[in-house]
Amino acid sequence: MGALLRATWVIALKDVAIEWRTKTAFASGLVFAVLVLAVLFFSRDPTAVAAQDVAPGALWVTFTFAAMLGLNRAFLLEREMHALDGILLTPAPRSAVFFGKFAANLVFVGVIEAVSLPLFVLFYDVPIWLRFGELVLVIAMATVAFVAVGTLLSAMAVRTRYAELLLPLLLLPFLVPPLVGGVQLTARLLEGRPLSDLSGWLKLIGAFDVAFVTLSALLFQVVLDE
Amino acid sequence: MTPDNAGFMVAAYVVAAAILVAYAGSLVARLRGVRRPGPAGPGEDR
Amino acid sequence: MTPQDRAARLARIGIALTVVALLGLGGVYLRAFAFTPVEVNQGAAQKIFYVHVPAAWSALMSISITGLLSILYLWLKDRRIDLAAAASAEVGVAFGAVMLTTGPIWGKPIWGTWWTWDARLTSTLFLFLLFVGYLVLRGVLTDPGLRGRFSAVIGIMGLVLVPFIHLTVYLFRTLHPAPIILKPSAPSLPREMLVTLMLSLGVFTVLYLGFVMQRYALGLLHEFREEELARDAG
Repeated sequence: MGALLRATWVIALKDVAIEWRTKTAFASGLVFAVLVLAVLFFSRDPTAVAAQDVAPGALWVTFTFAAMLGLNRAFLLEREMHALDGILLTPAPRSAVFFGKFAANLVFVGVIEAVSLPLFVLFYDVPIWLRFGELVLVIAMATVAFVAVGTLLSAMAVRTRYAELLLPLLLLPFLVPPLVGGVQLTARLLEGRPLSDLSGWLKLIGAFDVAFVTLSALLFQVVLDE
Repeated sequence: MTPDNAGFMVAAYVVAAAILVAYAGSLVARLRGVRRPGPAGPGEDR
Repeated sequence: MTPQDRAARLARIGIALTVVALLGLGGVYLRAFAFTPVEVNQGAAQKIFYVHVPAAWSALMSISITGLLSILYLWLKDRRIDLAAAASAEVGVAFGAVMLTTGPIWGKPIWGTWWTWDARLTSTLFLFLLFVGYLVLRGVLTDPGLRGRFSAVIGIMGLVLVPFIHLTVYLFRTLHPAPIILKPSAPSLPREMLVTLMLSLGVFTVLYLGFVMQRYALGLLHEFREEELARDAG
């Protein structure tokens, strides 16, 4: 167990460090976030559609596209350097590779989300401070869902010549439960509904997290096997 | 008042049949193709 | 009998079943059109139900079978299981196409719109896209071992996804009609309509079998030819 955690930590740290040095994926993710938030804000009739109505959708589109950008980059770098072969030669337990990459991807997406959130408040003037804790919980739960599946799928997609096409195509269906749940929960929280009203959606995303983090970790070994 | 929309029913039935017959045809064509000599193309799936 | 001959015979049986089923479909059409009562609120368009619902069931079943076979493949590593899973997936995509076209054609006169992003339609669309992705993935992977393993991963993930998508449906208020068949109590369809539906389901099941046999045989024959070519080249 100790070896697993240590190996996970090292792999995660390595990925985050590499990304931090170049910062290109962060930069494109942020630019994208601003773009999406702005476009969705300005593309409505302001007299007919309140910013608050568009807000939850805008926020989640930003999050998921930023996540996809990050997921693609993470493995592309790996492939170019054949670094994965190196990692596999070490005695690190295989599941550490998944959890390390999963953690690094979470950090990446988490940073984008953390920076997008103030922008979101700025543009859409939504009172997130009233439900901040609950909102963060919801965002975290849904993010875990698509980053877990995305980490697995990007490991597969990167072995083909069409990684940029395959990752979104394969990932999209898995986004439906956490995304629909995320948007619904965000919208209702901002409307002022109590958390107890939303237990159905929370249980759905929670169960999704448990099922797919486990499944992705297990199936990752299959993907790595030569 | 029962609406008069039989046209939609016909359209749906025709489209469904067309898809299924087209797929059936593609299977037969591909089965015949695999019996002919020649290497498999790059896009051919299993 | 060589394995090739066995595969070819399987293909012929599949073709026979398909022809029978397609004729049966014609019979179902006739029965639905001329011998089944018209639903008073929806009109004749309601009869699309007899094609749309069995197609949807069959698509879901095909996809679930792919998922189960994927688990089996990862466990037993038999390439034929991979071929069977792929066959079921492709057939599922075909039925899915029927479902996703007949659905909107039914929706337009009844709901006034071709499409609505309600949970069930959205879910089935994305499940369909997942299996299109499955087929695309198979198309770009040339190494059979890699292809088999990666397809199995998608198959299993898809299988687990299905109940979540179903749950998403129930949590979301939706235009899609509430299920009237899978209710715990007796189905609320009048008898005549139920019979037509059951007949249609039977036809689609036979069609599924016929299609899958052909597609599986095709996969086998491809492999045999690849092996032949490799032997001749060597």
